[in-house]
Amino acid sequence: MNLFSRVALSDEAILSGILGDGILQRATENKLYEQFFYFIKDATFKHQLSEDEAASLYSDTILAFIENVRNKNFEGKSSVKTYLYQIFSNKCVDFLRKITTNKMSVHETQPMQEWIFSLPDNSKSILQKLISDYDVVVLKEKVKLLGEKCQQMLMAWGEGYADSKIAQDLGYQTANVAKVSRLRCLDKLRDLYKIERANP
Amino acid sequence: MLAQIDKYFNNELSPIERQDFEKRLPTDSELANAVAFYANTRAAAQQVANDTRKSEFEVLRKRLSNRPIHRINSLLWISGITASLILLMGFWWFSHTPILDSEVFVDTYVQEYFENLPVKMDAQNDSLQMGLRLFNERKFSNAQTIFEDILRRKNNDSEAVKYAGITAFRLQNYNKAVMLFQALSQQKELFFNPGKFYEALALMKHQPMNKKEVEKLLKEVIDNNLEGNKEARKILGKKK
Repeated sequence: MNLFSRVALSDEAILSGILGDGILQRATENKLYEQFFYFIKDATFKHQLSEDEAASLYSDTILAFIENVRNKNFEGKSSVKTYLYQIFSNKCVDFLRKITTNKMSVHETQPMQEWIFSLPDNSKSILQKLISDYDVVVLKEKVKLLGEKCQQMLMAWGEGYADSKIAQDLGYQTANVAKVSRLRCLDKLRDLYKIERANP
Repeated sequence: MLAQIDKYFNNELSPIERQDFEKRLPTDSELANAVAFYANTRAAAQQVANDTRKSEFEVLRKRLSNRPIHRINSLLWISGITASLILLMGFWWFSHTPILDSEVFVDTYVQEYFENLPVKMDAQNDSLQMGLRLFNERKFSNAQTIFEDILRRKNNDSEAVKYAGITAFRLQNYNKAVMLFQALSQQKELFFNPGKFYEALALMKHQPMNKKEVEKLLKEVIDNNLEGNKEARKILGKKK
């Protein structure tokens, strides 16, 4: 009986939990956060970061790991702990480098998403220009103005979930129904964005 | 147009449609603009998701930081380790895969389902809706007063019982939550009744050591295929 098990999750349980459905996935992510929580304290000694700075980098590390697992970029060549520690150390070093070279910027440039590179070359430069013309901060604000369901749906899509998974997690009957609803949400968002741009 | 862009990036277009799409892209400004919107929205949505998750981690961090640290002497360490080894061997005998502890599971469930309750936009004067709005504004005590008023007028109102129970849960009045969810689970005429499952969640918080009763409730949820049986299976570590 596993009901009140308090043992640390095995690498296998972490990976299958992250790829599992709704609640199991969230609970696994929280447990993962808890399992290597001591990294934060380590970084305050090793890298002389404040606790808040280390905690923010640690959260980014967990999110990056989750994304890598979902995108199948984590191949399991090292243990989860080693892999996480490597990401976390790199983030700490990057952060310190940015502080010391005074390159901290309020407006970080938007990293180009991988799938944009799949477009033909003659379209890429035009699109890069158009993409940089959009104000992602305004888009984020507008996402938050949408209804709860639309927000959840777009966030899940932004995280890379397929419509079948979105349908399952958000209670839509089929992937197609979820897709139609998602596209409606995108339309609503585009209208909100257009209104904002017309009346800044 | 967004539907077509979506199909393009999901590889759902036929080779001819794909070719046509790529041919139009450099010359059709409307299409290019829509692709830029699509790309940026996806990035924005991912950032919103990450920001939300980071703030949830921050709450978790505060809880973990406030966790009391118990200092144990070496003799207790040795006996503790020995006992743990025996327990671990026992666990290994029954299952090879360690799963999540129930407390984390309950907290995550609460974070997910007891955070915002569904409000109808067109029911301004409905007191149930007013209670739900107050709940969503984190005014739990005020919401509780309204739900209990409704129950005084109509003591078998299933919605009011359910939301009063959830509000009691959020107010950490687990004893009251258990009683309210018990009352909900006894309403046999409901098509969807999460009462029994919610009662188990509240009991896990109210009496964390009362594993036997919690297991009994969860088994009932599973055996009778009640609302929450999927989650109950996960807590008990049962395969589908």
